[in-house]
Amino acid sequence: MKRTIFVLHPSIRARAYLQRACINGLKPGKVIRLGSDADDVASRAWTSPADRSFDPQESLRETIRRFDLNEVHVEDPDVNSESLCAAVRAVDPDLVVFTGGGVLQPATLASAPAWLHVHPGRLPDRRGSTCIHYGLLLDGAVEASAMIMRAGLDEGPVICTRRFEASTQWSAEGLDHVDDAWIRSSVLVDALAHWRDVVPRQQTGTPRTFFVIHPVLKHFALGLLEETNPRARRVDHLEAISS
Amino acid sequence: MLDTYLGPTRLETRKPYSFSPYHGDAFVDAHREARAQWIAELQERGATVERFGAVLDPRAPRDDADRRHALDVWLQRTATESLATQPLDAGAWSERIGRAHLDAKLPLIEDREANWSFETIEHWVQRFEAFGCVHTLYDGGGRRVVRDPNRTPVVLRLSFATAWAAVSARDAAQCVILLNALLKMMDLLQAQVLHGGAGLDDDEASMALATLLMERRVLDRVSTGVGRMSEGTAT
Repeated sequence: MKRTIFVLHPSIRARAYLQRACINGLKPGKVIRLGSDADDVASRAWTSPADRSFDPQESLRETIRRFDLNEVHVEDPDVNSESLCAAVRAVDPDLVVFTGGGVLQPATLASAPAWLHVHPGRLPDRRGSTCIHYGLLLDGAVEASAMIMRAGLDEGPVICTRRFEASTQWSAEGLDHVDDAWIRSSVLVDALAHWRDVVPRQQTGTPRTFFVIHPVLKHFALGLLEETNPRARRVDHLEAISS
Repeated sequence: MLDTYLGPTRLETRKPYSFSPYHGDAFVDAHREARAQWIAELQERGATVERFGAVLDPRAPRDDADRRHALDVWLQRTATESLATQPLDAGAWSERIGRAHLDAKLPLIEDREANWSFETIEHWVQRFEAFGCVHTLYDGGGRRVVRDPNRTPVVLRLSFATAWAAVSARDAAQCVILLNALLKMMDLLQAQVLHGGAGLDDDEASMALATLLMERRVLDRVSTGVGRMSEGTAT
């Protein structure tokens, strides 16, 4: 992992990625931490996942210290800044793990041979935005794919895909942050462990692009999630809407 | 309650959708009530699906007879809440819709035949989602330009076409993609009508009513279990 680096944009996803990679013996050779300490603040809503596989309240700096990681700090939080590109080029990595923070521009992608991203959907038929909700709505499950990024949206070759059935341990309140981070980081660990041994699969089949989900549909998706949870209250919103 | 989403200023950027949190029961209840109220207002002023009548352009692709039939049946049920036969008179509406498209200078839907193809509707849905508003286009230099300042009729026609496509969607994923755009389009229309003072003539009011009823039915399909929808089921 010496030439594998993480670009850490402050978020719960970045925290999950970094902690779970390190715990699983996949310590990056270097991390580039973006933004100020003020950007790297936890929300109270970030509760631990059921398996305690990461601690959402542990800051990126704390994790870096705990695992004695080699850090480069870039004050600008912009994932397409020239300072980040320069920092990446200076490290000369063979793989950069992307933790989110925006859409990467071609110039940023060109700063390293490969950028790895975990998309919460099956590819190519679940491209685009908020696919975690669409997965629940359409399949009652979430599939996440690790891929090498390309300039086109979610068009890159796929390293691995994993399916997660809707879990009673997920919640409507936590899906957008802690559960999403847990799902993606689970696939990231798989991908980092095996990416050198596999040839990324070019996407074939008919692509489908999804756009930001409307709040009403999101509500239905989360309602289906609650339906799988016997402890949760189930409200049939449809009955209300169609009455 | 819906002003957060329907306020005319915020709709200009559509950011409310980009950053929408989980709004829960209160939001969905407010959404339902707002739509129900709009339907009631349209019916009060005399809008009817019967008046709208012909949604089936006789020039629609002949090899899609099953989907056309399914839509026909659906509209009859929607209009009457029964299986009673409804007369379909295609002439006036197809003429009106076709001319209106030309008037709006929307080159990609000038072709009347193309109005009825899924591919064209999906293309417009993607434009709507990606650009935020249907009237926003890009000129040769990449700048955003407004091509149709009187956008309400354009959004209404696109909404209707999208609703039609969603009703007769070939599979669950396609249905959900179309419904997602349709909800946003109808939010936009509702904001224009409620807040912007955009008037709808009698025919447009009938088209809006038919679109709203289709939206409600598609919502019903999705919320009762989209994963169990069978391929090609349209009613």
